[in-house]
Amino acid sequence: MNQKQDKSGGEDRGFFLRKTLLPYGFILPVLLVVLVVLVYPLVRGMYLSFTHYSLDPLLSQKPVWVGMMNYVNLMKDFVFRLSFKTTVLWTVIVVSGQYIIGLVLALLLNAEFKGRGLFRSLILIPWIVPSIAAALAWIWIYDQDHGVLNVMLRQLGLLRGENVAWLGSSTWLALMAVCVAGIWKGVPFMTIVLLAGLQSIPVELYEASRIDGARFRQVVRYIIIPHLKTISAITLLLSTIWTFNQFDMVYIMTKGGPAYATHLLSIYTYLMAFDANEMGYAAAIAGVLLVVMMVIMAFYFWVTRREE
Amino acid sequence: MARRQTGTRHIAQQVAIYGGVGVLTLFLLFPFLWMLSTSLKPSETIFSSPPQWIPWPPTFAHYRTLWVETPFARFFINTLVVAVGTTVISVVISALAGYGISRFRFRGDRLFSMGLIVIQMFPPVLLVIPIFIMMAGLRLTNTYASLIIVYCAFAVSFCTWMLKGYFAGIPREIEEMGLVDGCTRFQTLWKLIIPLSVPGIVAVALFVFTFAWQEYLFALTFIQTTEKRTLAVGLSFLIGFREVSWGPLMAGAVLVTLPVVIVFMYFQKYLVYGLTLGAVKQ
Repeated sequence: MNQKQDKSGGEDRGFFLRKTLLPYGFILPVLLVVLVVLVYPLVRGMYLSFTHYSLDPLLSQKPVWVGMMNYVNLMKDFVFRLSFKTTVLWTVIVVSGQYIIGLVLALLLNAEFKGRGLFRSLILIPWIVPSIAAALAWIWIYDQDHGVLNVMLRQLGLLRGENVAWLGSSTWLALMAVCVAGIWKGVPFMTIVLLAGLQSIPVELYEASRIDGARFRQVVRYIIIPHLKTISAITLLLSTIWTFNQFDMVYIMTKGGPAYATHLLSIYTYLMAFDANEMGYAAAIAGVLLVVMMVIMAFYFWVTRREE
Repeated sequence: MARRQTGTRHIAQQVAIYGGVGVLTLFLLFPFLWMLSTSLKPSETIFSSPPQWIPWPPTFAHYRTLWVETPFARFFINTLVVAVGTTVISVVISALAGYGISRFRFRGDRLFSMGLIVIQMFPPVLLVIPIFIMMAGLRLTNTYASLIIVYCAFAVSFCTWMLKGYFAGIPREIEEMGLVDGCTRFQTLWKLIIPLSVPGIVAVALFVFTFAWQEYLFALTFIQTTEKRTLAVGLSFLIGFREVSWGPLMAGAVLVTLPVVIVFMYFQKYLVYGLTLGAVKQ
């Protein structure tokens, strides 16, 4: 790469340059895309959170600097505080549900049995069902009048009296109903990644442990857990991030209702930006969201480094 | 592993495994199967109680309604173009970057890796406004390119991390052998690392494809005309325009889902095969 321009320095310098510049060549395309399409807009978005700004192409209005006003208003905003609590609850329930079911399923699918390959394929379906289709299917299942969930519960004798409005009641029920859909959607990804982790464990280790007479519990303790630690941390982190920022499925299912029962911060941001056309205030909500995520990240790095 | 165990214990173990897998699989499959079932029923039996589990005889009336009376085919092609474009570009550039950070130590390597993780957290809802403004400035709104660019940007950090992890699991000795034999870095990547990483790359590619296929928020914001609209948004507009009719809606949901399932099942065989092969080789 650098040999042409460098005759005087001889081979040593050419080799040195190649060694130092080569890694940057590998990462350049990713770096460029990320800087232009994500980092620059992020900075721009941060700036907007300190402005009053309504998106109106006809008026070509410009953002007006208002300092910390959006953030001060957020702290006084009842809906914001409620959405924050709901988002945390939703994230904890969905991520832990996904991980527990995903781990159990991965361990089961790592065992030897007939039809294993078929099951490994089948369980991936929720992951590949597009959010819009998944949301529609769950709305239909949860439907108060004709939904199959109510019909089944009634047939089993578990439901008497009026039909349950799974997504329409203002209590915790709507949030739980949405959480089940959220868990359902994320289990397959957890499972395949954990399964890939389980399968990356060299067969020799199992064989050696069998020869040494190790019990299943010992295999889990000394072989499986150490091998899955890193991959678990990464997938849990990713799942937390995705779940915290989840928008489309919940939005399509409930629009944040009823009575703010499923009002996630992402939904609040979207509605504030595109319904209320308060771009600056919406950017401030998203800014808080980002700060929270940064704190979680810092905590994550602290924990993983301490464990090393 | 269980081959040499005694009969009873073996059977009990197998029953427990089938029971666990069976229950969980039923939970994971039910919404999809119910969607499929509803889409194939005549309108009269959709609301029947007790429910008709298997739609017999099946009817394709709802599908015909969807194809004939809505621009569904157009949405379908648009989505395919965007998803394939995103997948190819993301996987290629992420493989390069993943290899770069798994095999080299260079100034700023930690910053780059950490930066990718942090970027993964950027809430799309925050970015959609400034990115939209940028795309409008570049006169790229209402194009496939605008969606492909944004989807790539969101996909590459995850892909790079997954591939980095995958490459890191491949012993360095293998490529050191290649380097000693006179291969360049690109050759060792292409001829030694990539073939060993096929399962990982397929998994990452599938992730990108499904992400681009079903993305909702950017497609909703960037695309303004019906001719360019993708399936997810197109379908969501069908909810708005009609009174809720579960037959055609479920048919639409199935049509968004089915091609991905088919492609995925095909690759899944390859994925499992690759993983097994890798394990056996070691």
